[in-house]
Amino acid sequence: MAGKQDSIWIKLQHIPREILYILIILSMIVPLLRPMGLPITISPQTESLFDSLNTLEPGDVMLEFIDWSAGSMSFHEPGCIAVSFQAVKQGAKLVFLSSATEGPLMYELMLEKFQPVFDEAGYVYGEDYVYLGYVAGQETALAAIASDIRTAFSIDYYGTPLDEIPLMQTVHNYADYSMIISYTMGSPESFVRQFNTQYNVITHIHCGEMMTPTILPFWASGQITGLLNGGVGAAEMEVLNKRPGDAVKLTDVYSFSNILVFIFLLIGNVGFIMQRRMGK
Amino acid sequence: MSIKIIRKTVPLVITFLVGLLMIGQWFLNVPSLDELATFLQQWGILIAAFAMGLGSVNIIIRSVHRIQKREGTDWLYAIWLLIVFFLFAITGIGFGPASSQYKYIFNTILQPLSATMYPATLFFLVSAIYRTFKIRTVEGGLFVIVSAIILLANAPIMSASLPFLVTLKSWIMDVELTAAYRAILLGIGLGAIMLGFRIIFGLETTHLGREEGT
Repeated sequence: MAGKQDSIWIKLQHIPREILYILIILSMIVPLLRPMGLPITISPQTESLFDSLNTLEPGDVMLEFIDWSAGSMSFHEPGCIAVSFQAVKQGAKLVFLSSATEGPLMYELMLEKFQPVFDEAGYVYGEDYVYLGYVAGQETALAAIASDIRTAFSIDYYGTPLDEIPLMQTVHNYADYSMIISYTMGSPESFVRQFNTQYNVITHIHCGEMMTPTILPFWASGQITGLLNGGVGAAEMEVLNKRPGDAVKLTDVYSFSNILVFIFLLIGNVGFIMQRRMGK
Repeated sequence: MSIKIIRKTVPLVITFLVGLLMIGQWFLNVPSLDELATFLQQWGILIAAFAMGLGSVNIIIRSVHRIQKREGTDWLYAIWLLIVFFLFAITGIGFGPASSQYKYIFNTILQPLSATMYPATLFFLVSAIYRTFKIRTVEGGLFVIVSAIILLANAPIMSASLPFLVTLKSWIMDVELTAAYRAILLGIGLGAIMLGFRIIFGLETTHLGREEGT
């Protein structure tokens, strides 16, 4: 009898990998096919970003670093769209740029979805928004953008000299940036160092869930004003905008997959503890 | 003698002067230092861009070398790497990165592959959590409990239906994690300052591509 019980606990710890994978796939596919619209709570970090965006006044300039890659596009793109929507609503001017190589293509894909918002708001390229393209050099480039954007970019992504772009005629350095936001999968600390620590520019970050714990101390210290936590953060921003989009659609997937991982964590530990108890 | 001066002394003097300049620019409000620092930053960007080109050449040389050796199955991957490399490079240089041709190959090859790689880690992650996160010791138990709380609080439905999870998560993240991570950050910061001083004063020479002290 004891032997039989033992085998159950051991089996609980050794569920075949294939079953695990099938359940994970189901936890992602089912909510996508049949969205349930599960409730979403707003985190203080997202709320702080939203409040900060609402302080933008018409004509204020916001720098948006399109630094995501195709791997994190599912949540960075909706996050960027939600943030930009709020900024456009406030009448702010947007300067998009990239310090990651895939940035230019990510910008173009994002723009395909966001162009209707620009058109509706009467935004004109060069006057109300601009894309400067990619600049190499990582933190050195960020330092240059903060001190004098023309040392990093002399032309925009489409080859127009910066001085010929109406919007850029008034944008030179940190003093002209009302706030910046970086959408990145890498380490966002360099943005804090170069924009907030040195020039006190309001800094927002949208990073992957894995990076959030490493950046939270900067939010607690006030060096980061707003922080979007991966896909959940993007969905929260869409809810605050009252404009549910791609991120909200994915929240059911986050709910299901997280609960599934928790169940497996529980099963594995119940099996382990019971096996140990039986062994005694 | 002259070779030693060129290979060691000159780079160390340049490092020392540039280091002092950048520190001075940060702490002092001298416009001429700002201008000089901005000029150096521009150099930095150019060198970084040049390094990317150098990296590409390096990839080609290494891949060709691998193909010539034909050891194991690596050389087959090297051939594939070169095909994709030149496909992207020729299309990008020939038509421009904003062209429909470049966008097409990016959207049909790189984007789906990249987008698949990131979620694919979830499968390994779940399997690893299930098999390794076990309450073997008190510390291990704490680790598992904290992980479970964060996991559940990150599920939107759980945080909405069990608000105490959000409070608990906030406490863990804002107090425990922030305190611990700040200590790590301070350690990293102090280490970076020490390393910076060692480089400026020529005690650390590995960045010049040779062993320390040689």
